[in-house]
Amino acid sequence: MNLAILLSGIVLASVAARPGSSTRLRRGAIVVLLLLMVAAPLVTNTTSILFDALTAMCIAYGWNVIGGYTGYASFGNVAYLGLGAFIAAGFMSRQPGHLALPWFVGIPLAVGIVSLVALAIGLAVLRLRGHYFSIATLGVAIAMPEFINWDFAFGPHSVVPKFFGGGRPLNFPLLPDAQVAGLTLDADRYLFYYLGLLTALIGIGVTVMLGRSKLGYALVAIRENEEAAETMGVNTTVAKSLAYVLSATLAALGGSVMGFKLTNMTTEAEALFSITNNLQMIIIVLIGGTGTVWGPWIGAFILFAMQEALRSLSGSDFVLQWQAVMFSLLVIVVVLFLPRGLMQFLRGRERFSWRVFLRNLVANRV
Amino acid sequence: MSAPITPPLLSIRDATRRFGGLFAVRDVSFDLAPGEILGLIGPNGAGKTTLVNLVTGTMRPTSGTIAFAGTVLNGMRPHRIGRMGIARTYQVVRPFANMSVRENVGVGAMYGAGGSTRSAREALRRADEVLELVHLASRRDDPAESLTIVGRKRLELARALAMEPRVLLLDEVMAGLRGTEMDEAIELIGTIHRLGIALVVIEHVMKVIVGVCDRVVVLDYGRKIAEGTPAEITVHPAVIEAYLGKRYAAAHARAD
Repeated sequence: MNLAILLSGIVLASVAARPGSSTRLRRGAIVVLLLLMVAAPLVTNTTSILFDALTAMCIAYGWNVIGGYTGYASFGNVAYLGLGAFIAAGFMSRQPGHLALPWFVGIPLAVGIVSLVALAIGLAVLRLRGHYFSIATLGVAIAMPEFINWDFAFGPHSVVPKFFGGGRPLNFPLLPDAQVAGLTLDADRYLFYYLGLLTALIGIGVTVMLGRSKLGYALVAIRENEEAAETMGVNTTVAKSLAYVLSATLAALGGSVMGFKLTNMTTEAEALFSITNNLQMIIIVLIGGTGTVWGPWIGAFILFAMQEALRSLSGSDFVLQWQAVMFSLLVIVVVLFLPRGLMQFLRGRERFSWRVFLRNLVANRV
Repeated sequence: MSAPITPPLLSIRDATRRFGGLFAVRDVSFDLAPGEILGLIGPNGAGKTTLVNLVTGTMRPTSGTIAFAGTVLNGMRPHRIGRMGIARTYQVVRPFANMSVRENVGVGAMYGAGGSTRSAREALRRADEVLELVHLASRRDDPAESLTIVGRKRLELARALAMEPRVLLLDEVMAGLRGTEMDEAIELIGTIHRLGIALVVIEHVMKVIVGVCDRVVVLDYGRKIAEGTPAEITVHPAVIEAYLGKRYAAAHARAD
C-alpha cells in the first residue's frame, strides 16, 4: 500500500512539475496529491516509511537551497540535522535539569538556535568556493557529533550539565494518542505522520517562495556566475549566507522531527549524523533535479519507493545489505546520465531516449 | 572636448595595479564627463580590462584613486559600485546560462541602481522593456545558453542596461561580430548614448572608435601614452609606435 502511495505521489508530482501541461491540470494534480498525502494514514497499516520519506524530503529541500539553487555543494548539512534533533531533545527531555518543553515549543526553538549556529559557521565557510567549500562543510559534519559529545561543555560536571544527556539517553514523552470525534488516533501512525507531512510542506513552500523572490534570482545568478552577479549589484555574501542558513533551518526542522519520533536518544546516536543521512539528501535532490521545486519531492518518493519495493520483494537481510550498493550505483547512474535529474525530462526540453543516453555516455567518456 | 567643463562623472587619478613585479596599470589618470563616449584602446595586454576591473571593484587598485560622482570607490565591494550606477559587459560573455533571457536581464533590474524599490515581478517587467530596446524580446523565454554569440552580446548589454547605470563600461562588445552585426551594435551604442548614459568603449576596431567616440585614451604596457580626439589619436606618433612598432613610426614621421 505504501508503495502504491509513493508511486502515485511520483506520478502526481511529475504532472504538477511539467511546465508544458495546462495550469488547470497542474493545479488539479497538486490538489489530488495533497488529498492523497492527507488520506494516506487512513489506508495504510504503517506510515513509518512515509514519515521517513517526508522528513527526508524536508531535509532535501534544505540541501536544494544551497546545493541546487546556489550551486554550493554542501556536505555538512547532516550536522544541522543532528544538532537540531539533539537541541530539540534537550529542551523536550523530562530528565532532571531539563525543561520538558512541549514539542511545539521545543522544536521551533531548536530550529531557531540551529539557524544562528549555521549563520556563524556559514560566514566562515562561505569565504571558500567550489571544492574548498565542500571540504570545509564536510569538516563541519565531522566536528558536530564531537561537539555534542564534548565533556567540558555538556558532560556531567560541565558548563551546561548534560544538556545533550552527557552520555545517557535523553527521554522525552511519546505523543499521547489523540481523541478525535470519539476515535483514538495512534500517535505513531497519525500524529508523527502529519508532523512529517508538515515539514515536507514547509520545505516545498519555502522553495516556491524562494523561487519567486529576489533572493532566489540572486542565488541562481551566483550559481551561474558569481563574479557577474556581484558586478550586477548582488551582495553575494548576504545572499549566500541566507541560503546557507535557510538550508540549515530546513535540515534542523526535518532532523528535530526525526529525533522526536525516536523518543529517546543518546549522545552516541551516530545514526543521526551518519553518512547515510548526509548523502541521502543529496541523492534525493540529484535524482529529482537540482534547483527545482518538485525535484526533491520526486527524488524522495523514488528513493523510498525503491526501498519499500526491495523490502517487500524479499524479507531477507541479504537484500537490505545490498541496498547501499544499489543506491551507490543509482547515484553514479544519475550523475553520469541525468546531470540535471528527472526534471530535465519533465521540462520537455529533452526526451529520455537512447540518443540522450549515448550522448551523456560520450560526454562522460565512459 | 579635450577639457570637459562639467564636473567629471568618473575620475581616475594615478590608478596603479601591480601583479608582483608587473604593472598591469600604472599611474593612469583620466576623466569621464556625464553623457560622454570615451574610447579606451591599446594593444593586447595594455591593461584595458584590468582598468575596467579596478573601476567595477573586481580588483583593488594598488594605489591611486577612482571616484564616481564625487565618491571614492577604492576598496568598495563590487555590488555596491554596481548599485551606485556603474555597469559593465564582459569581453568573454558571462550569461547566466541556465536562466531564461528575461531572468538574466531581470537580475540586473532587481539589483542595479534602480533595483532596491522593485519587486521581482516588477523587475521582470522592466526586463521586457530593456529587451525591446536590444531587439531580444522575441527570445525572452529561451534559456540564455540557446543564444548565438551575437545574441549573447546583446543579452550582456541588456543586463547592464537594466541596472540603469550612469556609466557603462563596454569591454570589446564588437569582438566576434561580422560587418552588419557590427553596424547594428554601433547603432545600439548610439541608442544607449541617447539615454544619457556615459560610455567607456574598449575596442580594437578603429572604425568603431573613430565613429562613436568623443575622446580616446590610449594605453600601452599599463601606461597612458596619449589622450585626445579620435582624429588626434590616429596620427599620434606614440600611438602609431605602440600599434605598429618603432620602425613603422619612424617611416611614417619621415613620410609626413
